[in-house]
Amino acid sequence: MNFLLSFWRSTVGTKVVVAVTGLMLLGFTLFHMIGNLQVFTGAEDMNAYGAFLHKPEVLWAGRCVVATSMILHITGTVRLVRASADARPQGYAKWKAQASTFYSRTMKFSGPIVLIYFVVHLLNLTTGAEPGHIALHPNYLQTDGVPKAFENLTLLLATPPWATFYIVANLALGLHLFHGAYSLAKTLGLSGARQLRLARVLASVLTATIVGGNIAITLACLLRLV
Amino acid sequence: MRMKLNVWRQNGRDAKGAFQKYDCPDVSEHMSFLEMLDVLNERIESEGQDPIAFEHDCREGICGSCGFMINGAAHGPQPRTTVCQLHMRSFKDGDELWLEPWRAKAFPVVRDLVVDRTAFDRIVQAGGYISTNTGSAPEANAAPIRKDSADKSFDAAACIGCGACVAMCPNASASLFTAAKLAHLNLLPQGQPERLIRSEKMVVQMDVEGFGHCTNHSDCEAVCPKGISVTNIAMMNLGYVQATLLSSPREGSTDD
Repeated sequence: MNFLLSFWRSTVGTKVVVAVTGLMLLGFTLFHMIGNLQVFTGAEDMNAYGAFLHKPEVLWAGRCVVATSMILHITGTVRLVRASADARPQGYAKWKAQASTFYSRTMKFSGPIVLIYFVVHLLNLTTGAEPGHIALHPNYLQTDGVPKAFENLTLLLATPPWATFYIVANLALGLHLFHGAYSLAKTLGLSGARQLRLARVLASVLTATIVGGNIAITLACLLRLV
Repeated sequence: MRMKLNVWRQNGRDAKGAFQKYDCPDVSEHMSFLEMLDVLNERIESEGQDPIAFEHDCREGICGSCGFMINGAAHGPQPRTTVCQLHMRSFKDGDELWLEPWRAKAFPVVRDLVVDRTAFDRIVQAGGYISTNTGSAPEANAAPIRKDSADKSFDAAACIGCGACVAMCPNASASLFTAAKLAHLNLLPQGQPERLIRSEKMVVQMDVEGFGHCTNHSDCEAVCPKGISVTNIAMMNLGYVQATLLSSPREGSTDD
């Protein structure tokens, strides 16, 4: 297993792990958003979907995959950010971006914002159904450990402060996803001009879909359209 | 033209450096940037001071010796141009310029604007070669090479090792340099027998030297005087994954 350890220790290896786990988390956010679109088809659909996700085997398989991806993604990134800081102990008096973008240079800030979003989101809508029943929520409803997904979501996002939080958090998620999705294609070895153009289009479309979908759900709840 | 310069002066590797102001009232727009510094140095020397140290050799943009930061851009504001080929007409009369050495832990400052880039030599020594018996040159057309491979290899081989990529990278990463040296050999038939071990060893050496990692900002490509493409970095990543995860252990592998 030595080779796995040396792979992880190299910067390219860590980057590849961050890219693969990033891809998994991107897939998770996409399916999560698509599932939540059921808020538009009504309480019955959404609560049935919520109950399906709460089958223990589905729930814990999903949680294991997401948690493992997040742990590897974050530990890998922390390692790389520290390596970068070590690589330039003395900074420049003047430094002017030549091709890098706002979103590429703010990955290490948008990442922690997304993490905070993730934790708050769990406290809003997940932990209320767990033993302890801690919920950052105006009126959390659940029966036998299965949350009433539709009521909980619509009630939470109908409050302007929470709706604002979710919209801002999703914009940060968008910054992170756009550079992340395009960058991971390069990290995983895509080098052809045609593939890279395709990766850029895919990254834009995926980011717009995920962020647009989430914000549409938030606005619909805030304006009480559902 | 009149130029106001703020030049990083540092007496030696461990000395503390600082910016020093110089006023250059008689700059011709036809001078190269280094010629302006030559004239300034004559004046500094005539005043009994130590001249500003900067590296230079061919002054034709092909040796890779020169290079420093001008107002936060490696090699200054002109794309695909080394400092020696940068002319004062690229600036405006009265401009204030900040001259700083490349900053990276792996490139310690030797003096003023000169840094030690032997870390690059050690990356090349780790695998940037092919092992072949010497003797008379083989028949040039004996090994067919695809035109696009030859072109890409030649583009990568244009790297002059100036270090601008490291200097400009927000992470002080040497990925563009290492990837160019890898692509140069890995795309040609002569480079195939050692392709995997080379891909592994050069990446490992890049880490050992203390360079940062690549986050695909592409600032390196933008300042590279030879326009080396960041797509070489993607090829390096793929080569490293093939070498370390997807192939059987080889003699000389770093994880033995």
